[in-house]
Amino acid sequence: MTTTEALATFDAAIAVAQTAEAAYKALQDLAQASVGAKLFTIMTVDMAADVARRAYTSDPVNYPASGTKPINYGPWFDVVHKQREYFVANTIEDIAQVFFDHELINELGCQSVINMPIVIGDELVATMNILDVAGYYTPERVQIVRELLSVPAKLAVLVAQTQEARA
Amino acid sequence: MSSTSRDTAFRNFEEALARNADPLATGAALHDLAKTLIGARLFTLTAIEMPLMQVRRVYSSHPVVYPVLGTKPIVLDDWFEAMRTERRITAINSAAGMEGQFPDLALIRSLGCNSSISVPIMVGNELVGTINALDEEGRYGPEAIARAADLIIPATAVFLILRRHFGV
Repeated sequence: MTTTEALATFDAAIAVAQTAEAAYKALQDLAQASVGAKLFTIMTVDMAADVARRAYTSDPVNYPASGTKPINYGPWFDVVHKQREYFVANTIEDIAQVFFDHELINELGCQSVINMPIVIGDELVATMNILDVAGYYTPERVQIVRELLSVPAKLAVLVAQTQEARA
Repeated sequence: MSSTSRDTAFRNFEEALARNADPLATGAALHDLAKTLIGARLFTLTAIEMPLMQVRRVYSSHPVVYPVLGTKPIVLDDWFEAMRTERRITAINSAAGMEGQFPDLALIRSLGCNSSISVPIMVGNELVGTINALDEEGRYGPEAIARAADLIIPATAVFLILRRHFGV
């Protein structure tokens, strides 16, 4: 599938998306068709309430969505939330330094990650998290995420918020 | 349009959505993107309110003559139906073609516009708005129509932000 086709598929899916789940699934499909991801999750963040929630997962059996959890402060938080930079790791050792559930991540066959902050109107509203095999997220693939996924990710969160407000 | 200017325009749009806390600035950012992709001398965004059977302008490049929040009744003609059911992008590319299509044609022409394009924006199977761009004659041929599809994802985000802001 070409990039143009993947984007057209995404925008057709958004046009009919009636739920947050459908909006995030459209983003997952776009991420997997473009950059690739064995595991895809969305964490939504409520800074005022100091909580985060895994709102969507591509693997509900082994890596399920969650209720709200306290925000994970630390070096990872500083990169993604304060500086609003992408966090990229390409070994399980680097992942283990920042994520408490690194053993589960490793068992699922993932040793590399990109966490992309999703920022709208000067507010960090969510992170898109994609994981794959060791060494997968090269600078070229990080660039694809920046160029191709940053606007669709904002749109997916906006649709999810809109449909959740309606429900 | 080079691929570099296109990439830069998308990057600038993404930056504007991320960093600018003013919802109205998102409409201007989309207008800037449209200028690069297809040309857009006159550019408006109209939110569609099906329950009220009206459209409401939520961004305008010419707010004096086309004010924001001006409303018009929805006209359920074939053109509207094609947008609503098929998400069809429509364009008129000549001054002759524009005749009889716009009640405000004299004003449009006084602004130097003799071609028009409309892009429907849908979310959750509902038409939430249309992008309306006008420019000089010949601006919106088949290539421009194809490029206009690249505005859909950015515009959907902008419509959701503006509709929330205006409570539409």
